[in-house]
Amino acid sequence: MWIRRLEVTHCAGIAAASVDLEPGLNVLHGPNELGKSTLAAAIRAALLMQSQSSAAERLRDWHVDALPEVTLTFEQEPHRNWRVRKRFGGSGAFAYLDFSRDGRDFAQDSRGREVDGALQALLRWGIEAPGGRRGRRGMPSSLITTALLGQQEEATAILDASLADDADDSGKQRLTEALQALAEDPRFKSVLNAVQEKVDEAFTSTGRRKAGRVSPWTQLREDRENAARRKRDVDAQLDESHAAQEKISALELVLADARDEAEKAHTILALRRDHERVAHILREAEHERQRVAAIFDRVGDNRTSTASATEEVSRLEGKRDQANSKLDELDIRREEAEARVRELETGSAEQGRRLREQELEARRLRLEAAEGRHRDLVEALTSAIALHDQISALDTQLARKRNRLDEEDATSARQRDELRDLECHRSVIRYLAARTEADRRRTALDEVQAYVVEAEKLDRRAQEIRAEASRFDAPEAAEIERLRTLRTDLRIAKEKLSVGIVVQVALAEAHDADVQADGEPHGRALAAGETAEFEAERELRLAIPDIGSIHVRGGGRALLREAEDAEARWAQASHRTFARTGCTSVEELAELRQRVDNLLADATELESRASEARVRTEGMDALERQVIEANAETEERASAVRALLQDGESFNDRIDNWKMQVGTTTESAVKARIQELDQEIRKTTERRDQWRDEASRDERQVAVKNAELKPLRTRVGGASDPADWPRRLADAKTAANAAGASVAEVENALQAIRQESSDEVAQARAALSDLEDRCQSARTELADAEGAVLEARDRLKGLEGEFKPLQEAAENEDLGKAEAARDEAQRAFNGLAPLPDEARDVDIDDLADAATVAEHRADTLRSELDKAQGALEQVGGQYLEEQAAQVEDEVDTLDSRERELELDYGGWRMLHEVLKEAEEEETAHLGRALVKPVSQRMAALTGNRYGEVAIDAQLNPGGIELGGDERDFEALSAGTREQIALLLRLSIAEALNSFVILDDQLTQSDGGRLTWMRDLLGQAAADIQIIVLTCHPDDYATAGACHTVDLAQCITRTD
Amino acid sequence: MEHNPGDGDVALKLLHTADWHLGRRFPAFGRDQEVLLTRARLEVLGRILNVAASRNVDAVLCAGDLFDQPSPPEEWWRGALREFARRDWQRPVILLPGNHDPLTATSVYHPSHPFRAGLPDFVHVVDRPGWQLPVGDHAVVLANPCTSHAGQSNLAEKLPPREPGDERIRIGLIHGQTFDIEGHQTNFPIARGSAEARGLDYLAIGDTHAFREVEPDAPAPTVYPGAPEATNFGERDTGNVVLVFFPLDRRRRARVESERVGTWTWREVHCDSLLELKALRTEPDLQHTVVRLTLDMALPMAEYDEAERILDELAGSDAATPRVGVLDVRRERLRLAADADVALDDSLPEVLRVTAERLRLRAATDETAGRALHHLYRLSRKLLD
Repeated sequence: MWIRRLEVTHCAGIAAASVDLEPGLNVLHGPNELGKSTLAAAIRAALLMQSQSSAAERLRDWHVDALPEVTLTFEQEPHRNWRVRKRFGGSGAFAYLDFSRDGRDFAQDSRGREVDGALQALLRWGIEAPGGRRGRRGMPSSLITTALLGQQEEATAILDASLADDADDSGKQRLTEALQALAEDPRFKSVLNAVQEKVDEAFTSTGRRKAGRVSPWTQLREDRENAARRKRDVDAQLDESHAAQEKISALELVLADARDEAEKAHTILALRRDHERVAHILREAEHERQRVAAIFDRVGDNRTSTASATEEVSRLEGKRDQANSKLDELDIRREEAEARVRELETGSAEQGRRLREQELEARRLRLEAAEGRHRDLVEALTSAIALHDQISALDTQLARKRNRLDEEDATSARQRDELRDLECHRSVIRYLAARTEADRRRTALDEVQAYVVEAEKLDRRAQEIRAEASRFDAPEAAEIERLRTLRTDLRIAKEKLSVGIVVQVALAEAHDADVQADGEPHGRALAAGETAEFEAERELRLAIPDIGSIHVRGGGRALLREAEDAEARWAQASHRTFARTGCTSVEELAELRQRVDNLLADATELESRASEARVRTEGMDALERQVIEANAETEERASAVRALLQDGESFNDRIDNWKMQVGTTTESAVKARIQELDQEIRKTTERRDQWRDEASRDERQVAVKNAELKPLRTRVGGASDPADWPRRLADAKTAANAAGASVAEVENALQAIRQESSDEVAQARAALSDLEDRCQSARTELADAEGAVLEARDRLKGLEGEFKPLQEAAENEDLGKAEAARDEAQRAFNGLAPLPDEARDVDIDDLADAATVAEHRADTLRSELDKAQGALEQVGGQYLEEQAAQVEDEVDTLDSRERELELDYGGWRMLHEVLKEAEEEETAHLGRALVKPVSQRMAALTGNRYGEVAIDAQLNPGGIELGGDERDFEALSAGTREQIALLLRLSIAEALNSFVILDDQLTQSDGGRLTWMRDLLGQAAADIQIIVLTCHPDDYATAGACHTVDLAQCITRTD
Repeated sequence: MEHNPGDGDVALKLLHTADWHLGRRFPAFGRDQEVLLTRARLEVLGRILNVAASRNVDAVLCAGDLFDQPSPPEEWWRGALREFARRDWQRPVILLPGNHDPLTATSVYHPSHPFRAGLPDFVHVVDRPGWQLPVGDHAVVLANPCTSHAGQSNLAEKLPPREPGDERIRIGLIHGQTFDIEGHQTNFPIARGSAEARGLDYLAIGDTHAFREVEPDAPAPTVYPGAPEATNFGERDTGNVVLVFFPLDRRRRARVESERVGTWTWREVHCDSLLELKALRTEPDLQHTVVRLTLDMALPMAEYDEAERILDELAGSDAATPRVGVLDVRRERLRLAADADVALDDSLPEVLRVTAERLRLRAATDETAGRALHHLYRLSRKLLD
């Protein structure tokens, strides 16, 4: 670092001073009181003191009413030039720090309070920046400022200085770096540089992994991220695939169970149906068998009865024949007796008596016939009444049974009505359950469809937003940044032209002038002879009609070209973008970009939401099918309800009716009641069948009785009223008795007549009478026999009449077949597998429903399985496994590569750390680095009188070896102390490669040492800038090439 | 001994290939090396077609997985199109979608895809089940494509059986797996005896990357030609196409020949000693070899350094051509021997020697320190050189 130029105005007696310096030795000389130390103080102030510091008062020139100003230009290192401009004190204070690569064209870097912070950051002299912990007061100082900028009156101050007193560590750090470098072996340096280079390849200064295209981690990181992304994708797909496979496996198991369940349900249902069917067949066969057996029984009975009746007829005909033979014999004997009587009774009295007797006999016969008729009627009536009574009793009994039958029918009808009502209820429950399920599925479908609509809406909106964003045609951020850079370049280029222009114009004649200062138009009337002054920062145009125009521009041609180039680059780059976007500034472009980015972010957000919504629509097809199925089932259940409605009852009424019962009746209660009712109906049916059988039996008995009554009716008079029969019976009995009495009277009369015949006649007659009696008895017996024969024949005829239809009916029947069918049915029934307990008391419809549900579930699972298999086919199965293995291998390789990279660069970093650690341990003692140069120079200066200088770790010199002992500096002469101090300052300046200001030093040195020191300064000036302020320039006249400045030529004193 | 008919005895001659995996990426390797391997897949397609031309086959059967994915990047299907476009052929080339490149609405085989649209007339795509193409008057190719990445259907079963009176040479073309181990989940399984069951004279299949005649004793051959270029370590018998000769005498079985078209070899090398590593360096023809080199050895510093130099030589650098075409080194188990003597030359700066000693002490338990020591060793050698 060296100072190029120093400018001072209004500073402690100096009105103005301007000094240009050179690298190497600069000898600034002048007489006392000229202001040499003021220049040194001005340099310190420019570099160290804040412009508004009260300490600046010392710089104040009290002869003028102006604030001191200092401008210091210095080169930090090649192509890094800085210019510090400060005005000190009061409200007019300012501070600027400008930067330049070439030392001519400066651009402002910072201003105001920032200047001192920036300066301390770049100098690193151990001075705290403004606002620091310790707070800066007045002129700050540190070990380095003491070494480089030491004041005239503090020539040996460096001997008391210590880094420990510095307000900031920056000085120590800089000295450490510098002295380490000083102490470094170049071979070590080359190794350290090589290691540093490798470390820098991979790590930032803070030890973090480096980013950017050239970083070795970047490509690896990108590869790993890509691999990780692919792995995530493949893993996600693989998870999906595994999930699909697991789902398939699970579904296959569930499906197998469902199929088993469905099969079992169907088996149970079929078994139950078989049971029902075979039981029905068995019942039918049994009924048939019984019916056929009854027919055959009746045929058998008929045959038995017919045989009995035939035997009876034969027996009765034999008896009649016997009676007939007996009668014929008796008739012969009676005719013989009559002939005997006639032979005995041949006289007239006899004839009169015979006539009376004949009359009486005729009368007796008539009376006996009448009595017989009456007796017959009595018998018939007695039988008819008895039969009629039996029939009436049977009718009464039959009517009672029919009433019971009717009651059971009514009960059965009521129970069936109730059953139907309950079944209707159950159907309603099932219908409502199905409708609820359908509603639930429809709601789910509606939700999914709403998501579809939502997703489409979001997608449309996202597309609209993207379309809107694309319409803006906003430039990319990089393009905006490029424009911003070009604009900054243009601004800087234009700023460089802002050198300040003042044009004075004097016209002989008055004119109006058009003036444009920095592009701002002004009108101005120029008076004749007036000197008008125009001012601008960078460009001034002056147009005077009829005279001409003047165009003045700040800066040289190179700067103008630079500005024009920057303008052209800016115009070329910005024109198209502005034209395209309609923007007029980079800020507008940035706003537009931001707006478009916001829109795109909105669109992305919407698309993400759409994607989320779409995810929720998965399975919509299945839902739609489920809704259709649920609707179909609902309709089917509704049809079941309608089929069970009562006449005039509406479907809705039934549903409403049921809804009113919800809460009071449950499906299970209904179901239980249905089962209970089934039992009751079965019992009722059994009772009804029993009553019907009994009524039929009674009817048959009534019919038999009526059949028996029918001939009796004929005998008693078909049209007669049975109610009249008792009276008639009494009348008949009376008439019979009367006829009997009359017969007795006639017989008595006959007896009396016959008393009149002779004994012979009487005997003949008695014999005749006996024979006639016997004949009569034989005739009666014959008539009875004939009647019995007729009756038996009638009965036989009736049986024979019945036999034919029975025979015909029996001919059409096959009892064996019926029995075989019944046995077959029984065997079939016995051969059926027993019904499981759960299928015994369950309604067959419920079993059918359960089978249907199980079948439906199996179908649904089959559908899901198909879908899952389809999904697996699409995601890839084994294909994905291959992909996963591939990406796994990739990740494995990248892991290996990363481990190798970490190991390799970790090795470089560790090597660097250990190298630095060893190096720091070697050089942590800063004093050691300076002991050698200072001691060697001191020894050379003093002819080896002095040995090694003691300098501690904080660079605080403690003493010097003299004669084998260490001497305190206090014990040395002022000249020796001054010489040691200068050697130390010089060594520090060399270590820092910095200028050093020596303000009237070595005043206590003798000529020999002064000469030696002068030569030393000449040698040292080959590497650093040394600024000597002296009033004895001749002391340095032989110091080799040096830049000598006569300050008297540069300084204008106020006084 | 099987009779090898000359061309005069041959009724029909086919080239059967599969599993090109065009567009397959190898991101585990470096960029340049990945490009080498990926391009090798396209280059081998040119060689396959050259063999077809030089052997004057009647048809080329490509049995699936021709692309690594259904819709590969454009450069790969464009490259394939360029290879086809170079041929002014009449002989049919039949492309079958496999499980890697199934026939889907977005695949290269869909009529709307520019690849399909750009195919010359002699290239046919099996784009529907029950696809058939007569080859001449006496032969027919019957094919079924894969339409998904995975499936359990036996595509061979869906080939139509031979009708009575059909005397043509019947060639089946499908993609799938023939191993039918109990309980093993196969992808598009192909049952044994399918060729005979469907009345085929030859069943051309693809999927397995190794050349294999599935049922050597069956009346009709069922053959995997294998991948013409290997795609991974551990694959055997890759790099071939199959030439099939159908004798005029129909009673005789079709004859199968494999012909090499691949140029790359994939090897996994495990070195337990420096000698083995040196031996690898001396092997010829590693330029077209993909080597996964695993090092498992503890070496003294000088040998460790030599191993590193050999690795540098194998891998190449900006200044030196690599000895190995594609090298993937697994060196986690290459380490410095715990008792390695690494004392630096006394003429070197003290700070370097102190550093070396500190690292040596740490190297026994810290692999990174061993590597740091090796770095220092190499730099020190440069200083002495």
